[in-house]
Amino acid sequence: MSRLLKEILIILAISLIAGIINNSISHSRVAWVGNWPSISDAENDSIWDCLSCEPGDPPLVNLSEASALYQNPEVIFVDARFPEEYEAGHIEGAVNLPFEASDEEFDYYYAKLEQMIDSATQLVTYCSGEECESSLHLGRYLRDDKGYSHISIFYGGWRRWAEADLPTAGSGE
Amino acid sequence: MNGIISNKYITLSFRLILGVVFIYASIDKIAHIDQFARAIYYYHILPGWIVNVMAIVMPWAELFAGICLIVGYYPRGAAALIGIMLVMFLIALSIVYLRGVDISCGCFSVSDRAKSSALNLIWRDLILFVMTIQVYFFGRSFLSIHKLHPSESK
Repeated sequence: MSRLLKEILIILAISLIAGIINNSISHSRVAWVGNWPSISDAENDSIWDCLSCEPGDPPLVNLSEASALYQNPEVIFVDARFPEEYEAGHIEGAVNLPFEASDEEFDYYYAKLEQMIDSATQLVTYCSGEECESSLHLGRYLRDDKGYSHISIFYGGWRRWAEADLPTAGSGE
Repeated sequence: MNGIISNKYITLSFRLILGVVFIYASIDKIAHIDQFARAIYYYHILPGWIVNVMAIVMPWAELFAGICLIVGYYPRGAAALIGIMLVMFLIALSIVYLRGVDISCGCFSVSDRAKSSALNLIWRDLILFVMTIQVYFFGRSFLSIHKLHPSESK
């Protein structure tokens, strides 16, 4: 066996051992073979693989449910992404509330939203798409810390909405 | 020209840069295996059964390869391994770029905020790859533990 191959295999073997040990003691451990939906399923509108969702979380809505809610003018869509992402493109009429921005920035946007809604308002949170979780975290926060009980999470997010050619606004950059 | 390309100080700098980058890149992933697995899954490139194996093992390969490069132990093996990983990252990022999908890259941090455009990441990885090639061919001995092994100090 060439020395190069031997060196690579030794580094990989040590990595494998360290990985096995780490994965058996870590709080974030995972199964060796994950139960990931197949790619074709994940592309399907009916399956939103919310991997961090827990029982008791606000309900997820898929694209058709989200667009049905959108027909109701009483429903407010809340965009959890950063302001620059929101400016570039968002669901038409959605209000920006950047969940991962600094506390000051978040409070600034929250104060604006607060004037538009009350505890009975139906809110739908969303972020970029299935790969982001700020819609979920924002949904939990609005319900658990701010007391809004009518919250849905549109997990397909901005990407699914834009792909479906539903109403959008923004600079398009 | 050849003297510059094979300059031992340049090689040493590249070894240190690559080593630090790969060690730094590994820490957050080692701490958050589940989130890194999710980041890999969302590339939608690998079959589901291998996603978690990659998430469990690959950050450690980055860490150990980075350490090996810095201390100069198995420098060629470490450089080759880093080169292989960079090629994998480049292929994955190119696919993502061509698809035009906005994903969290999972490069240095597993958080959703760690986003940058695939094109910038491709450029960055290409620069790292050039450094890796230089280290692979010239990074044998200068300030290396490698030198301490009489049988290997050629």
